[in-house]
Amino acid sequence: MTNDRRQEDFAQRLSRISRERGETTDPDQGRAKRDITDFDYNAPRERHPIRNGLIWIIILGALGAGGYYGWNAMPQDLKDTLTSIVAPDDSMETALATPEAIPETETMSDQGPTLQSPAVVHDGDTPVMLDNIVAQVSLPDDSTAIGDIIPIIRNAQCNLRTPLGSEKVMGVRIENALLPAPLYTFSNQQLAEQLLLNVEAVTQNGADLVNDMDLSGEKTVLDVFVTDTSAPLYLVLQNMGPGIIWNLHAAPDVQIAHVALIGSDFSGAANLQPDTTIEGLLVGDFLPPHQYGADDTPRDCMIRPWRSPQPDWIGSRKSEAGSLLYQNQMYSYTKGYEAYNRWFTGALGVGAAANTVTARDAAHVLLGPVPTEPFTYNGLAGSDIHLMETDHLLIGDSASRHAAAERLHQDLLTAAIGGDFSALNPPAMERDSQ
Amino acid sequence: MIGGRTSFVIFLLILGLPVVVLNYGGLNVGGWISEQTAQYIPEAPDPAVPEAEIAVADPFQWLNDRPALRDTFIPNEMTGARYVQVEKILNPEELLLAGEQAPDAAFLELYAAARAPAQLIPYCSEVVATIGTSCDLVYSQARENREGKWVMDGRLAYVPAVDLGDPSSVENGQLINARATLPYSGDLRPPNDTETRAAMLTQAQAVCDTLRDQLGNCVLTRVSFDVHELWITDLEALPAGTNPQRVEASAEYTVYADPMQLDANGLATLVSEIVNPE
Repeated sequence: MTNDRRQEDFAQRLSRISRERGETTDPDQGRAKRDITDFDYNAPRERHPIRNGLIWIIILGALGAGGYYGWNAMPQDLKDTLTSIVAPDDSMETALATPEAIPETETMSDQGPTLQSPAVVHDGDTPVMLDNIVAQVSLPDDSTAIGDIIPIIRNAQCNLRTPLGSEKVMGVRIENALLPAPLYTFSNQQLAEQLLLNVEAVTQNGADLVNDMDLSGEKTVLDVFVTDTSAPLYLVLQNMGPGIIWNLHAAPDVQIAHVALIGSDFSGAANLQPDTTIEGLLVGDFLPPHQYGADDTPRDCMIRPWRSPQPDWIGSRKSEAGSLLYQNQMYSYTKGYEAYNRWFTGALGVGAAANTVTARDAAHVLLGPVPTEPFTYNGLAGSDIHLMETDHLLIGDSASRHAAAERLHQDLLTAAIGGDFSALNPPAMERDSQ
Repeated sequence: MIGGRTSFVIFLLILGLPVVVLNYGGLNVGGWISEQTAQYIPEAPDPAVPEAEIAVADPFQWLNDRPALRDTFIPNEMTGARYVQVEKILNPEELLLAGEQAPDAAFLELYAAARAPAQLIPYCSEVVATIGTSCDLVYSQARENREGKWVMDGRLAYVPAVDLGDPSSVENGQLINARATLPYSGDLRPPNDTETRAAMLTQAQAVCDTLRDQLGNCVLTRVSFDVHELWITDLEALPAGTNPQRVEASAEYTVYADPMQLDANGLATLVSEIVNPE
């Protein structure tokens, strides 16, 4: 900076002289207007399109790269919030969906539909509720008093009765039933496996045994409403989760000729018709516990009842969105189903999908059309239960059954430890105490 | 024109400088700050202030500020970073108490897992007699081997009985570890008994002591005892009463050192030279 104002003083003098002479024109008139700045003392401003272009490219590039990495580093919930603000419509949301942004819903899980009571799972798209099917409903609870237990001798040859030509094979294939069952049943092997988990929780993870001890043996109930009157029925009731008491409800004129149970746990059936025959296959009698890839290859007696992944499963959608975890899981389901279907077709003469209703979790299932008039619900109270035979069966009200199971677990655990529970976590040893 | 080029260069420098600093200098800014903070020496307490009012400094604050080092170097706690791995092989009948009936075969694995802690905790007496001031069983498991015997594995965490050295004096340090099998004389591994295992623990600690003398710090982070059983045909050639269970020990040593001065290969060589002197 400078305080030299001589140029301005000279300009003012010229201006005053011009006014005194009566001249009013601008001394610069007629000359090309120059582009000047206050900082260059009237030097002409030069344009630098290449330089300025490079600067803007660098700035925009930096902003773009920063934005990209910043967006990727942002927490998913914040991204979802921002996305929903900027693009609230569903189509845009779907287009931007990542596997993490596809949540399970109340009725659709990673592994298929999950329908709580009173919704009824059936082979159709229209929602069906319990009161569309049956009347005088009395759902079971975990203290319902049941009738006698009739043992089912497990099929040891993996050779289910072949359906007759006059019979129609129908099936249900699920993972978990959602109604409580008033009994516990479990084998010594299951008891040992559960207690081993309890012990290892203490000896390997430092858990508190007494407070954390889980019990084995709980079962569930599924209502199966049968309305198909087209032929005598051969029902194949299949599940992969904890054992199920399949409570049958045959509509008028329905004839259930045979029931085949296939499951990973000890299951049973209630409210059979007088002439209905029943048999059971336990997966563990023929297959080892499942490990990833173990069921990919078709083989004899591959009876683990896999369900075929459907496009609307959340797991399928996550797989489509690029999740490697779900791609592996859906691949495992697909290959497992293919192997199971091969065994099923060979054993029963129809495919595993024929006349079969599937879901992951359900409380009620309908086989056949929705009846024109609701028919009477078969309560579990007082009904005899045909049950796969095993080492331990506990019935009675919920509290006494739980107490008996806990006593059984603790007695065995005490015997296994060979002393007090504290022996699982012995005190530390100090040098001074030697 | 010249002014434009100059301003352009200055602009690029302004733009590029943070990138260079963040990418090449920024990685160690946190460490630099920690080092500078750690070197801060508080002023001597004012003698006019009563002693009770002076805040007591945590002697392990330096370690507490460094979670990656803490489990290895904290001297007065048992941690998962320092343990002795022990193994015990039992015949099926040894799993049972005197006069006890064998349970259902489905329960044998449960019995073995539930009895493993009582079988393995006595090994702590060897630890507190040699390398530790206290010892606790923090993990145990049991499995059946191909011979139908039960193999119990346990991890004994311990509080070291010796000084571990001063890792805080190391600048730009990293945890470096090396393993070595402890030597034994003769063709036959030593017998798996209390005296042998205690001697092996002492031997492993002696190597660590030598390392600490040379490097300023050392932690015996793991000693593993692998038990093998001799075949009957092997035993026939040996004197009657020979213990069929033989033991081999390996040790892992961890030091905190500047990797520019001592890398993992260098430590492995050093440990090997100490363990197997010519």
